[in-house]
Amino acid sequence: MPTTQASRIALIGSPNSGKSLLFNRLTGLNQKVANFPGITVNIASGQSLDNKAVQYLDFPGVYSLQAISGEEKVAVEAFTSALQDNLLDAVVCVIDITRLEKGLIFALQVLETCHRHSIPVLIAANMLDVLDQHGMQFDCSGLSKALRVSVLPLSAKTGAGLEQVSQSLADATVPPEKFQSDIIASDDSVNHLHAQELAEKYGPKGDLLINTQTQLDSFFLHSWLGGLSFLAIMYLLFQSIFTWAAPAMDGVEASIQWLASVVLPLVPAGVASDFVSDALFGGL
Amino acid sequence: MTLWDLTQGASAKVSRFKSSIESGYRTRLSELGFHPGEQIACVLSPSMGAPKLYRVNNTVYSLDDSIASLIEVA
Repeated sequence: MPTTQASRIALIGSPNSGKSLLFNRLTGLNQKVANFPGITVNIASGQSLDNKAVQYLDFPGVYSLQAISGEEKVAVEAFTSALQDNLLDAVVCVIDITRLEKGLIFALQVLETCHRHSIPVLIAANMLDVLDQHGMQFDCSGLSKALRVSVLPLSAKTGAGLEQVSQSLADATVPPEKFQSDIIASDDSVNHLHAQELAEKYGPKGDLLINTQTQLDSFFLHSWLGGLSFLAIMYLLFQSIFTWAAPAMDGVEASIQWLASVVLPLVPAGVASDFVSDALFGGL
Repeated sequence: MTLWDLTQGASAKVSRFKSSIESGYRTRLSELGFHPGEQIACVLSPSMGAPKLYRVNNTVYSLDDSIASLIEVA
């Protein structure tokens, strides 16, 4: 990747893979992030903190380069147009390492597309912190050799591994080779068979589903416990507005009355006095 | 038997998609992990026809009747 001129690096990945958090870490910007899909709805851009000549582009998350919905089509077309028009110098494909098979189905599509357009690719294996929490590991070098591209383990949440991104991008000068495998299947299923094989061989072994979230789901989404929770939350909300906030509201009202009693005697009688009395203080 | 018929806590392997499924949905479901041979578990099955939660590998998806009924399991 040339470093003498401004380089444009695309961040692309599935929804909720941590792209925007990684973008914020790399650029120091404050793109909105949240723990549910669909937060990024436009293409954000920002300069790299490490190298002002590098500009990162945060594309909206898509599950696949084979778009089936209108918003996905817009995002995929923007990405493929940027590739076709030679607007990108490299692509960072962000995958969630805790859901490796799903991430690899998408990554294989990105590798194939970037191979066709001769654009270098780096795979950012995000959520390393979750693996660490569970005491699990994955075979990063094995996966990198199998895919024939750099796979960078990192955590956008903690910042671990981020220092390697700039260096790896600087080294990423060669477009990815076409992925080779012994698996023969129809075009429709070949990608997920490859992803399944790679995930089984190099991915973390064990149960990674966050049990706390599952327990909360089973409570709040329960047929009648969920309904009771909703009623309880709404009751607390109304109580907070109409009962618990009453002393504060009384205090504000008393302050306004005191202010009116001070100001009104100073205003001469007539239209101005009526306006201050009825419109300003009366309205408040 | 379709995925929608799975009761809470039960699991089964995807056998095939119904022929009436749109190709876009078929591709997307495969990409999400609902492909033939994959073991799927029903994590939560609320009453009154609400969407059910299904676990595929380390991911949980919510599918409603119209989609889950298009996936045959055994």
